[in-house]
Amino acid sequence: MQRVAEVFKSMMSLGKSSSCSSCWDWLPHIHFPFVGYCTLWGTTTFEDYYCSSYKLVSVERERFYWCATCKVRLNREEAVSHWIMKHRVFRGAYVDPDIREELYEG
Amino acid sequence: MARRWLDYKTGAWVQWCPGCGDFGILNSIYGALAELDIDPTNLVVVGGIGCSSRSVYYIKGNNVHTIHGRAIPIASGIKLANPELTVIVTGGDGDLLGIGGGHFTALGRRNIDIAIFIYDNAVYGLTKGQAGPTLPLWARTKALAYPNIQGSVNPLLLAFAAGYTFIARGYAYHVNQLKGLVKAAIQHKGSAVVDILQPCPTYNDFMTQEWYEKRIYYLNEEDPTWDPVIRSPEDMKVKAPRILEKMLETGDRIPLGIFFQDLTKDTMEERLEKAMPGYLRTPPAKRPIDVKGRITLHPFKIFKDKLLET
Amino acid sequence: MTRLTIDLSIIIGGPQGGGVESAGQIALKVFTLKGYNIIGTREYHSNIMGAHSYFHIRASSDTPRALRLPVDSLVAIDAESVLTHVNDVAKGSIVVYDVGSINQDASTLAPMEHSLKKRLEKMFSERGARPTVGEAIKLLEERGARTLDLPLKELLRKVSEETGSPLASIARTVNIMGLSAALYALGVEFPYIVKAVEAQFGKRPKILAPNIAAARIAVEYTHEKYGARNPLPDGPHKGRVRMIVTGNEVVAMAKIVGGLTFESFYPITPSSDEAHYIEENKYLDVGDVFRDVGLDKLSIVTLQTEDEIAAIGMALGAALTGARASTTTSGPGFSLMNEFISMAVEAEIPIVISLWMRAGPSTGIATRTGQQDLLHAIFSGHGDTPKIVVASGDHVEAFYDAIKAMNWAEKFQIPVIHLLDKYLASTSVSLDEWDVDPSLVEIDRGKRVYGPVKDYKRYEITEDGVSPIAPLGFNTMIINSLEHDEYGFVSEDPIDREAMVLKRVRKVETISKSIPETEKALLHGDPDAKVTIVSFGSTKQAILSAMEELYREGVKVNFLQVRVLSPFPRDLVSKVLAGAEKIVGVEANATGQLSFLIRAHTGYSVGHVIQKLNARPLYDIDVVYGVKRIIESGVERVVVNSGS
Ligand SMILES: Cc1ncc(C[n+]2csc(CCOP(=O)(O)OP(=O)(O)O)c2C)c(N)n1
Ligand SMILES: [Zn+2]
Repeated sequence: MQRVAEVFKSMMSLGKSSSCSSCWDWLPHIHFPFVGYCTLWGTTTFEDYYCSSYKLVSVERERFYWCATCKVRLNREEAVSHWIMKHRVFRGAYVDPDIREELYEG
Repeated sequence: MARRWLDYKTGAWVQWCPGCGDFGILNSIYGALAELDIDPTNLVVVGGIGCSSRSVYYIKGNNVHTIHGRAIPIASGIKLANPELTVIVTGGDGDLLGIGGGHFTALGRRNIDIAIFIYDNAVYGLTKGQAGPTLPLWARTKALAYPNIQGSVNPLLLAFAAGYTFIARGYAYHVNQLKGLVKAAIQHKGSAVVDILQPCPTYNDFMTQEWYEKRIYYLNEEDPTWDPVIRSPEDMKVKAPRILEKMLETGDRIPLGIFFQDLTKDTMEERLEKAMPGYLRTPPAKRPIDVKGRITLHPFKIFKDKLLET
Repeated sequence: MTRLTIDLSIIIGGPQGGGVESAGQIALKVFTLKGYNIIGTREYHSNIMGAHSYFHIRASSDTPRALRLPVDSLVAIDAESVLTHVNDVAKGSIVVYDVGSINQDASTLAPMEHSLKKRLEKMFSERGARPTVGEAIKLLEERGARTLDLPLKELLRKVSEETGSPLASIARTVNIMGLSAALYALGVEFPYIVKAVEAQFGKRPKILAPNIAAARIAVEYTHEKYGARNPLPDGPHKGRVRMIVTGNEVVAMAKIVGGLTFESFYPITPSSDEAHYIEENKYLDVGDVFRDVGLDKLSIVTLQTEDEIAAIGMALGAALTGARASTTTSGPGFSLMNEFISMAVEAEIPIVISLWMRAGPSTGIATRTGQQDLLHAIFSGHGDTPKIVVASGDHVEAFYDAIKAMNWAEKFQIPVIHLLDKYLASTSVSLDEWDVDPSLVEIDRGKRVYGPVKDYKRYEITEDGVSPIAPLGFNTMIINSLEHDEYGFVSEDPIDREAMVLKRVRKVETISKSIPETEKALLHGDPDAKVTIVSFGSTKQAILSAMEELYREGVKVNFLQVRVLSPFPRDLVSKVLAGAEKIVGVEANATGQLSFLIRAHTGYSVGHVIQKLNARPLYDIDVVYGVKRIIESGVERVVVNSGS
């Protein structure tokens, strides 16, 4: 709790340009991408939060990405094309560890 | 008084061709059962469909003649529901490794205490000699218009990969040696398989008695120190390479005997007892389900996770 | 005294995995706690994560027989839910949505099915608009819905700040927010919501706290926006213990209390949850009940096999030893079981197969409902294969049928196929202790002989076709899937053969005689009505509900529910149909499978059919519409298609 409060204090709601929503360290929630998980602080943040460790997402590295617009995992080549189309591309997505409880047999 | 082999022979006319290796196998089974003194009323022989599967008529027991390829599921259900029964499966290479191959593999994973005897003649006897799953590539038997263009499966390696804890190979005409293998397989606690090489004089004119007898030899005769028994994970590491080497040996020399016996694994029945103590005392066949015909359990008394007080 | 009838329906939509299931369960609990009867179902894609799913519930002071459309409230906190259900909403209903989704356009929703996007495009272009959430909300408002725009992100931020909970539990509260807002707007008091959330998550404080906070924050917001609501009165079913249970679970329970000791299965929707519930309860503490026989725990062997062939095979093997055994599957798996159905008939082995029908053919739509396997069940197995096929109309019937099926299987030494479907499988209802009273059924294991029998004949020719059955392990004998003599020994002798064929079919008469008429078929409603609906299975409650509506509108129909479909209750059905002027079949298949059976057995043709083919549950409005169309126009076939 203590730690979380500190995190909130150190954050400010700023414009989109340099907020979590375009930060390398942020994983948007798989279903509700306005909220997400900051891998740096290890806590929940909202897309418009900001902190001094902000680092712009890029699709330069050879790895997998997540497009929150298309809700799909991308390889780098695909990520570049989604990025160009101004989709919301991230390093990954956040999935609840308990999601199994909400899933059905298919 | 100990039982004699004749105590297991039924009055049925044995319908196999003269010279069929099945006779040898049947005699080995009689002998093994007698030496183990198994009570026929406690014995279950399950057969699939094929010449060999007819063994169920020739052995005294509570036997089940099932359908093609499906002896193993029936046998598994029987053993798990009543672990006190001695359950063995008799079937052909086509039945057990062809159409029933999926069940054969699954049994290894379960290690249910069942002994499987593969009457392996490399052909489909009952349906007139088509290629069986163990017939070598390019072999051409009488019944085939062209040489076999499908490769063969190695039953021992398949069993090993699947997790069988007793794997042996025998030869149908060596009744005495085979009896020993059958006995050991039945005595083994866990899923056991004996692949029994068996000439089919009617359809397999390639793998004949002569063909086999030029090639076969016994592992423990060639190497008196041969020890296939695994008692620990270290044993497995040390012995597996040699065991696999012997399982792979084909062509001019075909080894017989016990290749592998793993004593480190629980049987399925033991696993069930661990999961549900008391299972062995009252397995599905014996567990009371009612009290004088009445159902005494009410869902509201036992499925409390679904209840809500309003 | 006039009692106020409350009857509320809600759809809660969202991406699969996004919390719809918890929200649905909480909704069921809220209304049960409030003293109402409930029914609720889940509808979802055959997909693991992200595709649209929804929970549809109905709560009523009466018995809600079936789901109702249109609904009184739509909880649609994602764009896909608003757009998917835009036509499922009644006038005056409450639609809860997320302000943040307002500009989302159907064309950009990745998981949405292509055809639905096209339909929405067309529908909205006729209004000169794009299919966006904003436009959908406008349309809903025009149609008289009251909309509630939740600023989801802001509310969620509050939850997060208040509880400091990790994302895992926060995101899941989204649906609870939407639901709580809707419930509050419908007049449910906040403490009931809390109680239901506690019942759902009570054992997990980490999840409970944020959910309670979310509910409160949503309720406060709704209160500010809408002001105080008229409280929803308590329903008539308060002050007792109730059970909320799905069809899958109620069948599992029936099997367990009915003495099942062995179930082997291969996972397949919509049957797996039945097997899983048995598995969860396979080692049951039963206290004193079996003390006399020295047992305080009951064990059931449940085993996942390599395929459906092995699933039924193992159950048959177990049955041979005397165990009460069953398996469970749906159409694709049942196809694989066919060869063993034949064997069970030939070798006379008792076996129960719970067949949960889903939309075929082939893999079809794995997670949706249908009634396409009736003839598959009846004609399963090659050769002459007499068997019992029984179809349950609802949860209570399914419970008793599952126990009876096990009795019948053992009594007649025959396969019994218990026909159920996806709709029943995933539909929850509230039940009372007396609804599922197993003491109403006795356990009957037929002509069972334990111990050695002199000159035992497993297939003894008897007048009723049923021979004494000895489990393996007492005698020597042969159980045979080949034709055999009385001892089970293989025989191709013409006299033996004929005697055995006749013996096996004689069981059909025996069965027909021993199952009471009322269990074979039931005529609901006015026997003198001119229009007779015939149907089977889970269409029952929607039809009964429709009949009430039709009655109010002055249309008199009755309904013949065929329960046992094999052996077919020919005389009973003929008698009813003889008096009908118009016969209307209701089936969720396109080939008129029940009509076919009726015609084949009775000679009566079912002149009109109402068919539901979109793989969604049958609703009462479907039946009302279909019957009226048929009466007005005399058409032969009406395809009804409500549901999203
Ligand atoms: C005859 C039949 N039985 C069962 C099923 C249900 N079913 C669908 S996929 C599946 C198993 C999937 O596991 P796997 O093959 O390992 O694929 P994965 O999803 O893990 O990639 C099952 C049991 C079916 N479709 N058909
Ligand atoms: Zn994209």
